[in-house]
Amino acid sequence: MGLLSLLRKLKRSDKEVRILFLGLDNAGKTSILKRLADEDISEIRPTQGFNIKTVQKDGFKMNVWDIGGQKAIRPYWRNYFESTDILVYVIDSSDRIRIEETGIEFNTLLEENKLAGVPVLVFANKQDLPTALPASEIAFGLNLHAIRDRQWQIQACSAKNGDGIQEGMEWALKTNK
Amino acid sequence: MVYCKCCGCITCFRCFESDKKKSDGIVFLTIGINNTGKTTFLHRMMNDKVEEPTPTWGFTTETVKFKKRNITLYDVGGSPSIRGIWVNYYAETYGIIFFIDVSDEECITQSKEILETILKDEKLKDKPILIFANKVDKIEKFEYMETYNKLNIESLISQGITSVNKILLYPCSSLLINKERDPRIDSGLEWLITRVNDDRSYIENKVKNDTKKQNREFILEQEEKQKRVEEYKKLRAQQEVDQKQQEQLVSNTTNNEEIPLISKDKSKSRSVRSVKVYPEEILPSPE
Ligand SMILES: Nc1nc2c(ncn2[C@@H]2O[C@H](COP(=O)(O)OP(=O)(O)OP(=O)(O)O)[C@@H](O)[C@H]2O)c(=O)[nH]1
Ligand SMILES: Nc1nc2c(ncn2[C@@H]2O[C@H](COP(=O)(O)OP(=O)(O)OP(=O)(O)O)[C@@H](O)[C@H]2O)c(=O)[nH]1
Ligand SMILES: [Mg+2]
Ligand SMILES: [Mg+2]
Repeated sequence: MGLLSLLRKLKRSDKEVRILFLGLDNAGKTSILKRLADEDISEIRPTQGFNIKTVQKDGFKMNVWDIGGQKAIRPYWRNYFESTDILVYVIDSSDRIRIEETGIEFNTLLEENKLAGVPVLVFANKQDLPTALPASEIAFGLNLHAIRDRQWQIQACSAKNGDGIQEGMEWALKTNK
Repeated sequence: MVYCKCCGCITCFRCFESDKKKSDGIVFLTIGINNTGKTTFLHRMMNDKVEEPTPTWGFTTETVKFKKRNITLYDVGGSPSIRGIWVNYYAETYGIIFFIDVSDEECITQSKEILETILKDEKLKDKPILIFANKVDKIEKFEYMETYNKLNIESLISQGITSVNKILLYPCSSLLINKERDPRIDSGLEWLITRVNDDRSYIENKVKNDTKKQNREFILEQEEKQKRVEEYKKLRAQQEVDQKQQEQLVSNTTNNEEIPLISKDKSKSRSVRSVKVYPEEILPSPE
């Protein structure tokens, strides 16, 4: 894995890419980010503010912003929308009860002017758990099938064992607005 | 959600109409089993050089120029567990571009059944379908009639599921040929556009009515979800209140060191962790 190897997938034309990670609390945003950066994921605490990872090489730059998803922090999300190239929305696929809740939250994001037309990668995380919903059911829960004004991709993944994360990020970097 | 882009409401379809104008009205949906070359084809239409796209697990749309026309293409994933989303795009499409991989026998067999199922969908009734027999570069010789028969096209026509002038099997390659798009792709598309134009007013009307109906369904679905979530939230709030009362009860009746019935150590539990509201300084705006 590693963020540097991903950076090479970046198209020549865009020198800088800004990726925004959002999703409900406990979805696994920070775990995915740490997994990407080859850092230890065993001691992760709920994010009270935000994390940012920047990688730079040969004039290319990637910024990944990971914002806390707790209810009290969600109103601050909008401070981070500006000049986002890719929105990465992370879901806890094993939390059936909250799929629709996260769907409502997600659909409000899609209405934001500053995120208009921004491609969306949905990480259907925690696929290692036996109760995880398949990607297609999550697509329905999030109302992805009603989207016409932007590209979207759903990637089943697990921050725990690393499955699917590289593939998802590759799609994100190959895709432009 | 299909919220309107011009005024933000959910019942007006003006922006849908204006999007249509931008693309001369024509929308084509590309479908077919995974790995048949749909996204590679989309890149040919965008005139870029991509030949190895990532497998699609979702939806991509592009409005491209083709023979002085603007055409909107919808590309969706073809893997078995994502195919369920296809039906959500039938209403808006003027015709179908169906992909098969001619170098893969299993793919042809499976495509036969899929073809019959999709053509029976009311929303695609009497709309033209172009079947691209893709990857012909991979095989020695493309046997047209053999593939035609394997797909059971004759029987689809005789059963009235489609008609002889609404379906065309056409060979092509989505890869670059001498750095250019395969001219057979253009010929196939020309056929499809001509067929649409033959029936333009019927198709336009059908698209308009079916799309309106579908948008209403999407909105209803969303409203129902919203209701369920609100009920669930209420329930959860009530449960938290109940739990607190019980804890009170427990702590009032137990002596200090006895094992409580309900653990009071909530610091490890994520669901009930206390949430402080953080001042804005801790959450600075991005640079
Ligand atoms: N089984 C399993 N657990 C995971 C996975 N990813 C994350 N977790 C666990 O889920 C919990 C939440 O992970 P975080 O990365 O903190 O989630 P977050 O989205 O950053 O949460 P907030 O910062 O509160 O918004 C942690 O206990 C993780 O260990 C996964 O793929 N599988
Ligand atoms: N030889 C040959 N390979 C092709 C052709 N078209 C596509 N391919 C290859 O087939 C593979 C799959 O192509 P995609 O365009 O991703 O297929 P898809 O139909 O979009 O697949 P899903 O997104 O999973 O539904 C890629 O490796 C392409 O390079 C072709 O005409 N000839
Ligand atoms: Mg976090
Ligand atoms: Mg594809």
